[in-house]
Amino acid sequence: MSAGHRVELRIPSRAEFVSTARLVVSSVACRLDFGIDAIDDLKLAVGEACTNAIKHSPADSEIIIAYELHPDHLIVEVVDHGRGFDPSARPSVDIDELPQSGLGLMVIEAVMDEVCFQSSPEQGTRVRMVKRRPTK
Amino acid sequence: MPRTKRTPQAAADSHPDAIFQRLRRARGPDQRALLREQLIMAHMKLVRFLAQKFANRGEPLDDLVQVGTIGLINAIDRFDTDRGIRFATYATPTILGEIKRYFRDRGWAIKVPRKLQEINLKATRAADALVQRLDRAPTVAEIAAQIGETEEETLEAMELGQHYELASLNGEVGSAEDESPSVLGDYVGQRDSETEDFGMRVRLEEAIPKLPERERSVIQLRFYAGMSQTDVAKKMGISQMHVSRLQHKAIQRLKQLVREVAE
Repeated sequence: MSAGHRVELRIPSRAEFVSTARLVVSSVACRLDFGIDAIDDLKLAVGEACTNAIKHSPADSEIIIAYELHPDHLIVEVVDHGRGFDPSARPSVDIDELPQSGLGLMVIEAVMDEVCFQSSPEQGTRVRMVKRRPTK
Repeated sequence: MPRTKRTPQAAADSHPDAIFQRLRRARGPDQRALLREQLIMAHMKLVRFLAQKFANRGEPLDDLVQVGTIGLINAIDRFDTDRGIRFATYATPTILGEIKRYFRDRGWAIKVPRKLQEINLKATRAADALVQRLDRAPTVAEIAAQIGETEEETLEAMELGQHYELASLNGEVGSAEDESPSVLGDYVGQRDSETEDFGMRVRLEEAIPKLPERERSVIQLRFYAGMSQTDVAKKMGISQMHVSRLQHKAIQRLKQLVREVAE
């Protein structure tokens, strides 16, 4: 058990580093005894959050991924310094009209237990995601 | 080709909420089937998006889309518009659940840790050999190339493989509150599972001829000839979805038949 710890990762805003963020989440979730289904969900959510962050921030910037380990849950925060967006203005149109990134956000909301977006234009975006360890 | 811009009214009519409302009021099976079909088509992009996330695990993407579609259909049938959540958010875990179950049914729950262990073992051996040959520590890319795995998988196996160490026979199982904890050794070695598997196989082979013809063909092509659902569909001249349904029905029926023979 590694509860009570925090791991932070800073990656360049480049697609080839998304797998690094995914590897770290499977590693920390494994330490917290998450099952493989939950680890798949976490990898999916972290992958989508990082992909979105990279898409919306300048190539020379950094993405910060923080993993907070708790006894029964894991919190992952993905912070970018990109152009940001207005979360309240997210369109809720049908799937066919959603761009890939909109689909990513929707998937994150669906597989994580709690998701919170803080974003404002030109200030960057912070996505905070909570996954509780399913009871065995 | 530029997309034709839809009128606001047409967009509102094709919104999933609107279709669900119409489905709720629909009279007659034809109208219901049509609306259900519309909902399925409207969410195929989501199913394909989710299936793609599992595409690098050695199962054909078409099959993953098929099982994902079954998840989508289940979600459509169970969705309650009064819950106040978007259908896509509701459907995603159901679709993912069906895809994960597909891997589990094919033995992946066991295979994943075992596969990681195997890659871990192969990587360790390859690393030793490469040190000898190169006279320096090899890179992950070199190890991955040597054992024919992707770099990410090799790295994950080298890191996580250690977490899946073989369980010790003297390791305690059960919760910490147990007053008399038992060890894993207590649970193994009492039954000869190979003999049981053999008995099961005989029962299964007696049961297969009792299946209706099309279900029997699907089972034979899928599990004896080892064909994918896509290939079976082509061979039988039916849709993959149909193959998937026949397979599901056949397996349910076989379970029942095997139980009957056993009793």
